[in-house]
Amino acid sequence: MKTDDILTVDRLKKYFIIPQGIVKAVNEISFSIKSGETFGIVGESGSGKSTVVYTLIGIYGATEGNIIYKGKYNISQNFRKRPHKLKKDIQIVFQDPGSSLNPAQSIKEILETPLKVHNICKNKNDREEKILELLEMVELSANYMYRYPWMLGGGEKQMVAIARALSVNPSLILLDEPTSALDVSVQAKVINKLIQFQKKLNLTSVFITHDLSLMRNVASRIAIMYLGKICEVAQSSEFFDNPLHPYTRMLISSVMVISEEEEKLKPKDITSIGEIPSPINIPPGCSFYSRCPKRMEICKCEDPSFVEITEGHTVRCHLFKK
Amino acid sequence: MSKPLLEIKGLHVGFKVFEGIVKVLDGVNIKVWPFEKVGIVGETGCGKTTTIKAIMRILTGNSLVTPKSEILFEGKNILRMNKSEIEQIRRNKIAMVFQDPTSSLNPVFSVGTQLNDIVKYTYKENKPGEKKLKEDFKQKIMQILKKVYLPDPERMYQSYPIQLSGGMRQRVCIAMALIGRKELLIFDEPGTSLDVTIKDQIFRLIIQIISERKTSMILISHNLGDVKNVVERVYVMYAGYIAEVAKTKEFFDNPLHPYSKGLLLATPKLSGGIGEGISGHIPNYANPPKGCRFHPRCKYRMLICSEKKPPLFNINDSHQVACFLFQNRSNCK
Repeated sequence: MKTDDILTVDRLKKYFIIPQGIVKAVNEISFSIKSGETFGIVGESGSGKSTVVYTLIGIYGATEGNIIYKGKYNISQNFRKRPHKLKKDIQIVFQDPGSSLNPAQSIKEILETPLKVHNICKNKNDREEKILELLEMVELSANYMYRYPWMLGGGEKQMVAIARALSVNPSLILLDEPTSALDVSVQAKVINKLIQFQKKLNLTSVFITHDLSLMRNVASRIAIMYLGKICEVAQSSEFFDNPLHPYTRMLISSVMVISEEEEKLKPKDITSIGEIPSPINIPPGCSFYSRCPKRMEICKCEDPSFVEITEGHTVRCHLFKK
Repeated sequence: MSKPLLEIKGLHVGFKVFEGIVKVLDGVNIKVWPFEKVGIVGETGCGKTTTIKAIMRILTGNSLVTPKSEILFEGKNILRMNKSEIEQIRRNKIAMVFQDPTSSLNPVFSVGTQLNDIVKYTYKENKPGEKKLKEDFKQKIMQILKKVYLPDPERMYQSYPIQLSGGMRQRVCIAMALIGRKELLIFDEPGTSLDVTIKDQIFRLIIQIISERKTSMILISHNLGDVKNVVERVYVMYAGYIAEVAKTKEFFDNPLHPYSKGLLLATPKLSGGIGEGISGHIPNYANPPKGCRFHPRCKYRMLICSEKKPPLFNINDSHQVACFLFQNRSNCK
């Protein structure tokens, strides 16, 4: 374990027991996040990317495995068992700002709560000053303080949610598809603001999205998830210029693009087939077996392990076994 | 030149709500030629779905369509048709695929039953009471299920929507639209609720079907990428009016309207790069801005923009822009 790792996830498992069987939502994944980077997790719906983030924040306790924060704290358990001062260090922004902001509270009340809970400001005046500062940071005028979420547009609401997450000066921020509910013109605004904050405040973040084009523009390192497992991890540029795992290639080839330049990046040898199978009672072997165009006999019975291709670029596929 | 298959002329639609009348569509003009693939792009709430609902005459009860509006299908005004005429249109001429396959299929009937209903509705005139009919229908359904590449059509026929995945449900919805020989297919964001890989498959299916059947098509989407890969001509909609019309290639090479430009720039690129986006949000329809509805968000606004509504200026035969910036470059009006 390196010293500049802010978070290390080690063989994390999260299972859900339902009447039909066991859902292995997250099935033994390991990664580490360096301080100051944006770690992206991509995957289709049902791949378990949100579950990972919910486990990091403590909404779920892990079934097995460790999450080590800053090298000394194990935070794999439910948030109730997490020390109070660690709670403010990791913050989250949810997908749908419409449902993650309390409709009965004004923006002022929404932003005030974390300040109170974590004792950021000494008194009422201090808090009000801080709220104004936060609003200014996300480019909302001071009179938004007394408005309610329903009076705001989708982009503005998400900005409030981001301001709320940043209000307690977190060192790690989890972004769970923060712009998928927004229109492109607004999405670009929000993303640019987020990138700006990250530079200014030296934030580390985990960014989740299913939109690969967006991922290219925000993440510095990308992991791709399929059925609760990570398939490939690489630096952002490497990930798009030299995708290796058949699933990564399939995903990139499926993106609808608007320019010739992007068209060149799409792998031509692969077309998407099949659908993500049900995560209940996954058969042994590689989870991508049923859809893989390059499957071999070995993939059916043996789950591949990670192979490092170049530094920082690892793939979990039998095709690249040395 | 032949006549357009569908022509929408000055369509104004409003809705009666508590606050008063919200004027959503403010003069929409769209032409679809026979065998043409047309795309309508725009952001949430710009009136794309309202437009096509007006075509199908399935707008809700509180809607108000101004009497001057015209929707001509093969020369006949859909808005003035009586009930049997509009049923004829829905039965044989126009079919539609909705955005969310989960809510457009009835959860309590099996796929087979639902398809059967549509087949019966479509071929109603075909001598009811004939004995062979039932077998005939089933055969027709099986053919169509095979056409949309649904695995194991026999099992599909008996299963309920809940037993199918999102992609399969959308394929069933497309199968429904393919029953009979429709002349115009309307797809309302067919890929939005699906994953990228599934969306890719659905679009490939749509492209294949359209080229096989040689029908006209309208594709509605908020994603410029979808539109670029499928259609021949693009309409950009903003706040209830058409901002720009152009051939697909010309639109992506040379967008003119400030909104189209902003939209293209704001789309994140797979090769890296994301524009700054457009500030502000779509106007409140109960009290829309005077003049050009885009002017409060526009970087290039002039005095005239807040006073007069821009008409569509001709740039060339196939490229039109509703923006006063191009007033002098246009070659007519």
